Amino acid sequence: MGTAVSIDVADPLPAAAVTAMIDDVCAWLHEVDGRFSTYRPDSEVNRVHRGELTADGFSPDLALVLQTCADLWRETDGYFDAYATGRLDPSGYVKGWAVEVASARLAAAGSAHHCLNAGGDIRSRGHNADGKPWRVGIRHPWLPDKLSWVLSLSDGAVATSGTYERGDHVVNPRSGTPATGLRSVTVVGPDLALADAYATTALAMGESGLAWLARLTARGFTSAVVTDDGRAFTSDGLPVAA
Amino acid sequence: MRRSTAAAVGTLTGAALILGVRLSVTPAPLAAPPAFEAQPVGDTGAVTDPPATATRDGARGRPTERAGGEAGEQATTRPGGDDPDAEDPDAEDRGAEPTPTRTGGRSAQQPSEEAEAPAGGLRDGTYTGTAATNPYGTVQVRITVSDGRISKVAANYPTTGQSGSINAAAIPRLKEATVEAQSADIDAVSGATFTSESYITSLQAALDGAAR
Repeated sequence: MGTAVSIDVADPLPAAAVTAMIDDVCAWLHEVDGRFSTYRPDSEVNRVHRGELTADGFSPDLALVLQTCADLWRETDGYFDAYATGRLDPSGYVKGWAVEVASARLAAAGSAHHCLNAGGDIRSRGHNADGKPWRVGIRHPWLPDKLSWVLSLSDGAVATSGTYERGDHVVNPRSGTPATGLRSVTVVGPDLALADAYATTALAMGESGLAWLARLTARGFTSAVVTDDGRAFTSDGLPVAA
Repeated sequence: MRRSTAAAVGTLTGAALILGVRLSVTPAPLAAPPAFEAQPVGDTGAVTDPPATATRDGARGRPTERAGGEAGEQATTRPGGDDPDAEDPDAEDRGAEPTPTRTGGRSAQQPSEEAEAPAGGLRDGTYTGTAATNPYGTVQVRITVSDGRISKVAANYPTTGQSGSINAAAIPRLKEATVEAQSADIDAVSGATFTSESYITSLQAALDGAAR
C-alpha cells in the first residue's frame, strides 16, 4: 500500500534548493515507511511484532513513537490503541508524525512557506505562492469530487480519519469490532501527529467521540465531523475560510 | 431543517441554558431524592468517591460544585455507558455526570437544641449555614458540635434542573452544522487516507496536476 504525498513549497527560493528540500522529505518518508510499515515484512515494527527485536534494540524513532502511543493510550482511556487490531500497529500515529517531522525538516532547511499532504494529512506553514493563507478543503464524505468544508490555515495541521476510503478499518478497542457512528472526523491543530491520533481516536469512539472532540478545543484542536447518518458538527473556532 | 436547528441553538444557548438541558442532561425527577446519611468527621457528605481528576477542572474542582446535578442522563454526544469517563483523565465534564445527590430533606433542617457549652469550647448542637448560591447551584453546610468539638460536617448539593443546565452549558460542544457539497479554489484536500490508486482520481491529484 502506498501513500501519495503532495509537497508544495511556496518560498521564493532557487529551484535547486527547493528540489533538495523535496528530495529530503521523500527520503524521510521512505525511511519512515521502511521502519514502521506493517506491510513490509522486514520493517522494524514487524520485527517487534514477531519478537525479533526487544526494547533495548529499538531505534530512537521507534522508541519515541511507541512511547507516544502509550501516552495517547492513557490520555484517551484506551481508545487510541496501537494494539487495537490485535497486533502492534502504530500507523494511526505514524502517519501524522511523519509529516509533522517532514515539515520541521523543511523549516530547518529554510522553508517558511509550504504545505504537505500525505494521504490526506496536511501540515502547512506560512502562506501559499499568492501570499494568501493555505486553503484546505475537507473531502466530502460521500461525494469524492466535492468538499464539505474549506479551511484557511497559516501554520497548522489538518488530519482526517474516515471510513469512506478504506472502509471500517478503525477498530473500537472496547469491542474489538470496526467502529461505527462517524463517517469522517477532521481535527485541526498545531501538531499533525496529535491531530492524526485524535481523529483516529474519535472515529474509534463512534458518536461519543463528538463530546470528546469538543473538549480538545481548550488545547487548540478544533474539529469537523460527519456522522454515518449525515449529521455534521463543528467546533467553535474551526478555521473555516471566509 | 438542520440549518434552522443550528440557528436555534446559536441564539438560545446564550440566553437560556434550558436548551442545553434539553439537548443533553435531563434533570432527574425532583421527587424522592435518596435520603442523606450524615457522614463522619472529615467527609463533606454529599460527594461520593470524588474522581481525583475532577480537581483538575478549575470550575468543578471544589467539592461544593462537583455534584451539581442530577443522576446523569446520557446524551447522544456523551461517551457511552461502559466508557472512558470512569478513568479518563481528561473527562472535564465529569461534573455533569453526577452521582445522585443525597440531600434528602436536609435542607429543611434547622439548628437543633443547644446544650451547655463546655468552658472555652463550642456550644453543642447542629448548625446549618446560610445557603450559598454559586454559578452551579445552591449549597448549604451543616455542622454538628458534640462535646465542644465539631463532630460532623456535611453539605447538601443542588438538585434542581438549574445546575444541570448550567453544567451542561459549561461543557464545550460541537455545533451542529450542515454538510455542504461545494467546489472551491483550494490548495489541498484533507481526506481519509489515499491509497496510491485512489489518489490518481482524487481531488488532490487534480490540484497537483493543475499546479504543474
